[in-house]
Amino acid sequence: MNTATPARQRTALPAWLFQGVTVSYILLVVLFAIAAAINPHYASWDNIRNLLQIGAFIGVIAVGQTLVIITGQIDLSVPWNLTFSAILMATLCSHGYSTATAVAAALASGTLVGMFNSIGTAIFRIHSLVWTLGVNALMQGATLVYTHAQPPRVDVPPIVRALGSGSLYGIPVPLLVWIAAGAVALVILHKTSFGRYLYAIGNNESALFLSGVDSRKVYLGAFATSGFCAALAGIMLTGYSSQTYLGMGSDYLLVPIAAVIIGGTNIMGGSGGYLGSISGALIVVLLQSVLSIVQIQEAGKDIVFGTIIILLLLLYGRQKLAAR
Amino acid sequence: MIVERYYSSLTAVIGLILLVVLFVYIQPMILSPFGVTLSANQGTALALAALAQLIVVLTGGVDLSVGAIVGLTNAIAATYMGTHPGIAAAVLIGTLAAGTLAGFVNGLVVAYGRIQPIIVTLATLYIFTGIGLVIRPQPGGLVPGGFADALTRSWGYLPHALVFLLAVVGLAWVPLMRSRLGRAIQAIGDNRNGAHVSGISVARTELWAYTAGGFFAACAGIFLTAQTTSGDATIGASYTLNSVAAVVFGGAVLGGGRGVALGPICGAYFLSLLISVLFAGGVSPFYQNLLLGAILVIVLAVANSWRLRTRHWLRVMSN
Repeated sequence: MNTATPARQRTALPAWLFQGVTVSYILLVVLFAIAAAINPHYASWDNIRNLLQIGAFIGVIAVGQTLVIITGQIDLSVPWNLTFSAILMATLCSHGYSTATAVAAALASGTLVGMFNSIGTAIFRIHSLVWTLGVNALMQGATLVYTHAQPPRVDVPPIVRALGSGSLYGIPVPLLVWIAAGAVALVILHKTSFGRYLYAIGNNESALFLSGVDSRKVYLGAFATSGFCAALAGIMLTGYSSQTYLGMGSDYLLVPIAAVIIGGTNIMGGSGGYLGSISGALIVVLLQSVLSIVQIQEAGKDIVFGTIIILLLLLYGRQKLAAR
Repeated sequence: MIVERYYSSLTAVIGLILLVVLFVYIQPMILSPFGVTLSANQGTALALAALAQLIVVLTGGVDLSVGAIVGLTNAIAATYMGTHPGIAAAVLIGTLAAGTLAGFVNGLVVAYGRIQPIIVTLATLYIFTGIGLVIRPQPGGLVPGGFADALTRSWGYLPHALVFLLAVVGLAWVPLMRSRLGRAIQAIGDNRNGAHVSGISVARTELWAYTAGGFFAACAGIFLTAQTTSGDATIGASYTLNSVAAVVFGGAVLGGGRGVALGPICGAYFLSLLISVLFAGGVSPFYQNLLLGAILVIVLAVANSWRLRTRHWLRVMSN
């Protein structure tokens, strides 16, 4: 049930060609080629730069989401966790705290919410789908109370602004953050025991538990990372749009999850990885930008985007028939 | 035996009774026909949405698009109903059909596309909300007064809303769950392979379960139309989480196979009445969202607190 690779022994083509990661990268190249063929402007460095910059926000959230999804759970608390962290940072700045304090507080808040997610999931054993959705509602309430439904209008500190929209030697800073976060994710997943435990939980938690690993701590790590990433993305987004607003997280529920799934990570856990999520994030950003260039209204965009995700999943996200 | 069957609903039933007692203690006025009707109206849409969620949860899946179908059907009904009774009736049937079709699409992709229900319904959540927004970009619309009254007034102490709910349960839910299909739905949720080996078509059962879910969600959307007398494609947003919460609080097991309608319905009324009780208790509406979220999280934790007492941790893991 947990293998993402369809059995294709009868064909002459090598099996790795059918792995989610490979398919998603092929898809990325094909999509990009089509977009560039329609509009040559797409292949320009300006546009690629822009895509990578926007992709960074999704990619950073996808780091945490990938870890969580590999364990077979899901984190639906990202939107309001992100918003609350960003607004907390902006408010602290407006109260005269130093930027470092404000950013640290926002990251701590995000991480704490992530840890709270793992309490319900790992200790009370409530399905993360329900629990994190509940935590999302809780954070929405907390944000409204904290801001009196009016996010602070403050000058975003220059460092935060740089984090969201600056560039270093012509490379956007968000992209650099993404590269750093992605490198950490790859190391965690493939070079640490914690990473192995994540896959092990997704495949067979009982077996991991019997091997002497406290699986609750593994969940704690995964969800805390996801909360941290949400807060980091919130800070970057604040810098990118030079303001905080109540709806800033609403675009970041489906999209990062879609990126992870398109990248070949099994939603039931146990297989996949961050390498796929990178191409997933880029595919998603590419789709979004194509849709906005075609100038479909917002509602139409949701329809097309949802449909495309389902179509992509039909293409290679299907489960094996024998497993049922 | 009957007690055993409904044992899982106990928490929700007791919770609801306690809440009603508390409500009456804080605000004795609700014991008037008006108060009873108001309270019943508040929870009926969620109760119907909880049924929509329950039938999918029974198969072992989850439907995150319930709220979107509620919003979509609400938008359709309020936009096209007009004032002519004949047209209004036709539109109501059309609305039910649209909701059922939405559920059918979910089922088709889940059952025959073999993609995880979570991700499918998360994607269709966006699709259905998008379609609703195309139909009705701004909240509004025209709902005939007669239709609204028919669903939201009362005969003395008996609110029409409860009659509507009981009608849906009696005419659709019970016959459905007692049919071969209902048995098959519970069977595949309990043990997919076992059901398959017993000759049940897993895919076809799933398809019809999601379709039925769409139908119940459309019923919720129609009731909501009568209750709010307007259409809003995004009105259902909170119904997704609340329906799942009502189902879990009502004793159904995420993962499938176990659950009866009584618990989720009581859970839905519990969650809906909670807001009124908070208001009556003098809590500022400003804290409403925070308190609701907090209570939801606490309710979930309490409903699952028996896990903490488990002596054999392994038993908790392998459901």
